Amino acid sequence: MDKILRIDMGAQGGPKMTTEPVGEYLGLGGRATTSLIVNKEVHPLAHPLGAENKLVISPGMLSGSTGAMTGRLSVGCKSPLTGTIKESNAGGQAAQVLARLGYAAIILEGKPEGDELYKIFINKDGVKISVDNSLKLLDNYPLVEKLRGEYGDKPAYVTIGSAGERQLLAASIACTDPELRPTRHCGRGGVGAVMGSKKVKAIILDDSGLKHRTPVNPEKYRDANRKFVEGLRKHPVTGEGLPAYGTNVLTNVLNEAGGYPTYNFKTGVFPNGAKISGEAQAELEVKRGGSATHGCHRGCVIQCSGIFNDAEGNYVTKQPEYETVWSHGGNCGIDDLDVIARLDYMDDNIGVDTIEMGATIGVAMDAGLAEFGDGAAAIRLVEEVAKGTPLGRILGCGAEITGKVFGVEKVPVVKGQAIPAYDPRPIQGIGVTYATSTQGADHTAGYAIATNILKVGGDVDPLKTEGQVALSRDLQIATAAIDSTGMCLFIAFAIMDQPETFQALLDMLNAFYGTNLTGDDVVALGKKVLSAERDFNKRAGFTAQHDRLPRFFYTDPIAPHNQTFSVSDEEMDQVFNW
Amino acid sequence: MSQACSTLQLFLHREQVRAFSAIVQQGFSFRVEAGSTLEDLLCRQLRLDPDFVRGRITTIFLDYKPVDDIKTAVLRDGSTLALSGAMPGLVGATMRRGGFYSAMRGGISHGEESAVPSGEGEIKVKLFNLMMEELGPIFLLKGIVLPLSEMKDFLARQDPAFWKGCSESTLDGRPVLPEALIKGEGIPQAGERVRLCVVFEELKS
Repeated sequence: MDKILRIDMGAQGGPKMTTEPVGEYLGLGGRATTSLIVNKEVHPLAHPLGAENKLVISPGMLSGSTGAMTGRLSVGCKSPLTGTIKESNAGGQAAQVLARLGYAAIILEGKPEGDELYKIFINKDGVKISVDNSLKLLDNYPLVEKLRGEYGDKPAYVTIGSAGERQLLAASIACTDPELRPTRHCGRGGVGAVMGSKKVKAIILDDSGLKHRTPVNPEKYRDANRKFVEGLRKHPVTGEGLPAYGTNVLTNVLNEAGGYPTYNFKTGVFPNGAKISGEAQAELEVKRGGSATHGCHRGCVIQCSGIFNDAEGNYVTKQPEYETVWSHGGNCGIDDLDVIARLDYMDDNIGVDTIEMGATIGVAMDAGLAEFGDGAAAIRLVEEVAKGTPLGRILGCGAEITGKVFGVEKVPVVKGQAIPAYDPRPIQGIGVTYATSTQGADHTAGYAIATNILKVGGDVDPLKTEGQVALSRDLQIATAAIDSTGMCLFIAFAIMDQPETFQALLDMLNAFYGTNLTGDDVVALGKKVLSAERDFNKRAGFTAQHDRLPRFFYTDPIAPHNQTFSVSDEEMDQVFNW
Repeated sequence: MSQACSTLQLFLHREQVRAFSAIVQQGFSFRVEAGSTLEDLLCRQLRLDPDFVRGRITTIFLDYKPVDDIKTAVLRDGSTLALSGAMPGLVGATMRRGGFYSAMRGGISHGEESAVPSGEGEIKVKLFNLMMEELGPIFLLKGIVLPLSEMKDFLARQDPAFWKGCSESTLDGRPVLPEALIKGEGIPQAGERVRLCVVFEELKS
């Protein structure tokens, strides 16, 4: 990972590529690389779909090595959905392959004139950019199928569906999984629309003939990786709960806590929650010959994904994640796992964020476009997005725009991005993160629950009320750091409870790069990334007034706890006060 | 709340515990000593190892409120209790009892506000995720109470493999054939609820 591939898609005479040394980004990865480049190179007032915006694609620090859980791919840009800086990441094979090809980042910049559609093929021999208009408006599954016919089963495919081509603001970028299905998505913030604006339909990454990246100290790296894997396997969350039930294991628990947003955030309990729980989903998957335990990339030892088949045993989609089951399920009053799986497939195929799409359908139901609980109607609405009808284009631009177009008062978004599957009224601490994140509402912005081990911000007393703000700050710092390593965020559970597992992670990084990183250095990296992101957003016009939840969270109590969001603006404004 | 009702007892292979996953997730009624603490229920009444309770039952809700201290949380007649293993995600960590992030849900945390009368009582119990298989057999052995309609639905939807794993079935101590149970004929039509006791046998190989 010693070079950066820069492609000016708008160059005269056609796309022009250059390869440059990694320079100041040496030893960084993932979110650190994307956010630092975007902050430095993108004008904060640029139109997100214009020539001035850039799409930065970066593997993690340890991607491409033999290390476990190292397969996250980060994509950064100015978001067309939020107007803020954006980093969205996904699993799949792409990060591993891109890293082995030696690239710390691919930067797509400029904007081509005309309607030509491009694909980019990268292998050990170089980069080839070619026009392929036969790919126009193909959705992700048929697109990858067609590309496999030309490039085979070895590459990893990074693609956009029709939503990305149409530059819909909820459009995602798909990465293929080990079975070459386009199931892993950089979903949030409309990154697929930015790729669409560059007229890049697919990036084909082929590492044939290349080996794993070599650590500076292979023996120490192997030893640290072994300890890291042991830590993950012995922890009840990463070694038992997630492999058995996937992330949707949270449905029952959130429902029981009264924190499960239902019927577009009107109540905190979905009466039929058990019907769509992770437990029910896993049972159904196994019964139908699918799987409840599956890795999204090679080298994953948690295996929190799965395969969802229909009643006849035919593949429908990968195991829908908790947030997807929530957005299309309880949020829309739908209690049928087959309908939810179908919607998950449609989202992946069209190439839209499942959280944004489900939240949007919930808003559309509030607008009267369908009844809550009507699965067939929800499918019809997503079909509108697939067809690119005027209604579909509105829905495909997310919850905020749909709410505005149809006059819905209560629209659950922050900075234009849909609030995910955890209601911030009973769980106030997560509301602080939704409101203040540099990314718009995002549960993963403060997800790295390892702040106690990392000692981010020193020792916070979590039992004090003001601790919520401090905890959110620390979580956001820790998450920015973990996102920069390119490690799956789920490693945080084992890190939180097992100091030796965190040490193993540090040892992996140090053995790989020949460094002496400490926990403090990791924290400093997280702060550096967040500071860059805050700087970009400030220059883009964002102020403290944007770090707020929608008003109805402050005024409308939610059952069963009848709570409103009560963290004061003054407290909220202290989140980034370090 | 406790009422007399018929008791159906099944002797099943251990692997059939999964057949009860929907029932234990959605919740069943269970007789307890009202006024007792959660610790008392788990460690004395159910005889669970304290280490198991501490290390495995890491997420608990009593009347929809996350519990931090099982020594002070008290069961009321009519309470709803949900037991879960460790959960993923920030919110999973937030819900963990006594966890580092419990302040993030401080407004809904369980706290005792008034004295609880003691005596016979009945609570609704829900078991999630890893607890379904780890605690399900224990509750089922003690006997759970279900609405008659739910019991009939459960029996009717079991496949032949379930009944193949059933070595014996009795109703109020008298043998009853699986065929009758499947048709709903073995269960008395009178009464609104049925007590279900299940003895799980270890697989022989």
